[in-house]
Amino acid sequence: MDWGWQIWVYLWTAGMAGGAFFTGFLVNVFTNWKHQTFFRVSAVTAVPFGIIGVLALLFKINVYRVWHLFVSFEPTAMISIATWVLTLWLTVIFIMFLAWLLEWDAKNNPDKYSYNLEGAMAKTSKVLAWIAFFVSIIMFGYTGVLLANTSVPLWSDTGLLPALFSVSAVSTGIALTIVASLLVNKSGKLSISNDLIRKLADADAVVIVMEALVLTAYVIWLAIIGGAAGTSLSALLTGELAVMFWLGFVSLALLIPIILDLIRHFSKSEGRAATTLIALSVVLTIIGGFFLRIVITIGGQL
Amino acid sequence: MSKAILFDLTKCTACRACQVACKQWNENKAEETSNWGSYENPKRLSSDTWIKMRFIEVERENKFDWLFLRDSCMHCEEASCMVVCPVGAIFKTEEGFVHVDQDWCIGCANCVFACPFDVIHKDHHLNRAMKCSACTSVGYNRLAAGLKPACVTTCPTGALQYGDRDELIANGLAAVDKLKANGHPNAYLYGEKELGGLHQMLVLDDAPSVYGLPENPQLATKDMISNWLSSLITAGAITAIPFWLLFKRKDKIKAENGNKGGA
Repeated sequence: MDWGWQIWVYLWTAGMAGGAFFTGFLVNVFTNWKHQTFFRVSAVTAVPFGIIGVLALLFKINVYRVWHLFVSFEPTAMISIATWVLTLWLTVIFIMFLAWLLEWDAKNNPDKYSYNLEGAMAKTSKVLAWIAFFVSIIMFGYTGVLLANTSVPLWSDTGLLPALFSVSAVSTGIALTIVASLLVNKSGKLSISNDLIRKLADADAVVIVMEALVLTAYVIWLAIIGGAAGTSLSALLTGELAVMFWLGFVSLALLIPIILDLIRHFSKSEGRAATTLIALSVVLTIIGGFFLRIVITIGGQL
Repeated sequence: MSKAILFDLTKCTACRACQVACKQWNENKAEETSNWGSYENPKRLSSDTWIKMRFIEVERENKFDWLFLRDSCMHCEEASCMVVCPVGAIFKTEEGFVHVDQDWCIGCANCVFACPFDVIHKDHHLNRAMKCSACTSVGYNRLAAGLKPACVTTCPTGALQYGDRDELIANGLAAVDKLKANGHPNAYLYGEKELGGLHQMLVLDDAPSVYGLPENPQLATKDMISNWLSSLITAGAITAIPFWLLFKRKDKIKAENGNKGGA
């Protein structure tokens, strides 16, 4: 198989990293930058996943020739775009981290600097956050376009695969930020409010419903097209990939999280019970997102 | 000057001399194969097999027909492998043939999935994409030496011709006219117009679909804009809606009620 585990991991982690940053930024910007702690946790969590994606890709290509990617720019080649987008994203975020550190230092040592460094760094980091936000949309957006810009019927015939991967990236991204928030709360060093975590879980539930709708449209469209696309679809729905598709993706990423969210909603769970339901739901969402990349990538190569 | 290879299947005896000549000239390894119920051998193209004869069994007008087709790179004018290559390792030679620069390829395999004819394959040991280069590979460049591609030179029946593309189109169309006059109304010159014009053209005695060829092959990136729109509209706009509803709108309502919140 030409595109194996390295590509599954790459598509999954790059999407999830972009989705996590997207989540942290939107929450912060929609609340007039009141959720700065959550945004920082989201950004710090997203970065290692972006790096894992890069490393997974390096395992796939000729590692001694990686530098060829950095002396080329091919606008119609998704891997070239991915190279530059990931590089830009990581660079901007690392500079933003530096601005945060300087802001923190200036805040704690106001006499150290003769000018308002804290204010300057706060403004700088906001500008960088905006840039990284738009880059993160391209970052998780291109993962589906990479597969769609091929001659593989399962990937290219509907035009809906990019949408499916994008929604899944946001869903797994939200889930990742929730996991990070729960771990941060558990460590006791920082605090993310339960109200925020609950709202994030609600947002993820809406995105999961969107994902189910896009998946349904994708499946129906493939069935209508038939031919080679229909054959690949059969492998997904009833053939050799059916277990991974139904149990791995549909159940873990869509059905069970929605059921858990409904239970939480209608039982009016609070405190530990609600946290447990949310934690279980988001972990399954993340695992299910990985199965989506696996079944689609393998399905196109059967 | 634009060059091409013309394959006239009505002259082909499927002796597979072209297959052997390709292997020999390019020093490609033989493959271990097994009988899978067809004279086709090996079963499919690979990084070591750049040309193979395909045997197609069809029933036409209650008669059994055994058809032969040459499988190898079509050297598309609009080459999908070329447009998706992230490092520009795939390019056109001055003759118009599509060439993979083995010293620059990073082995990402994107070209493998972009090709509408499934002719390019990755060598997993060398970590590079391989395919027919119409004998233009560095160190194996017959065209630069004024020779014809090895497969054409070795063809004993004249089923393969090499030359100026325009001349070969005229030859191909004449062969198609003959076929039509001799009871093959669907005869077709494949490659005259497909994908901007192929540099390997095929004289077919029936519709392309009978030979398993795509009727209307498309450039892999033809839907690139709509694919990006599909992705970015969903990613950037639609998935932002729940965030807006749950954070912006609810906070606004809370603020209006004089009941501010935050983490």
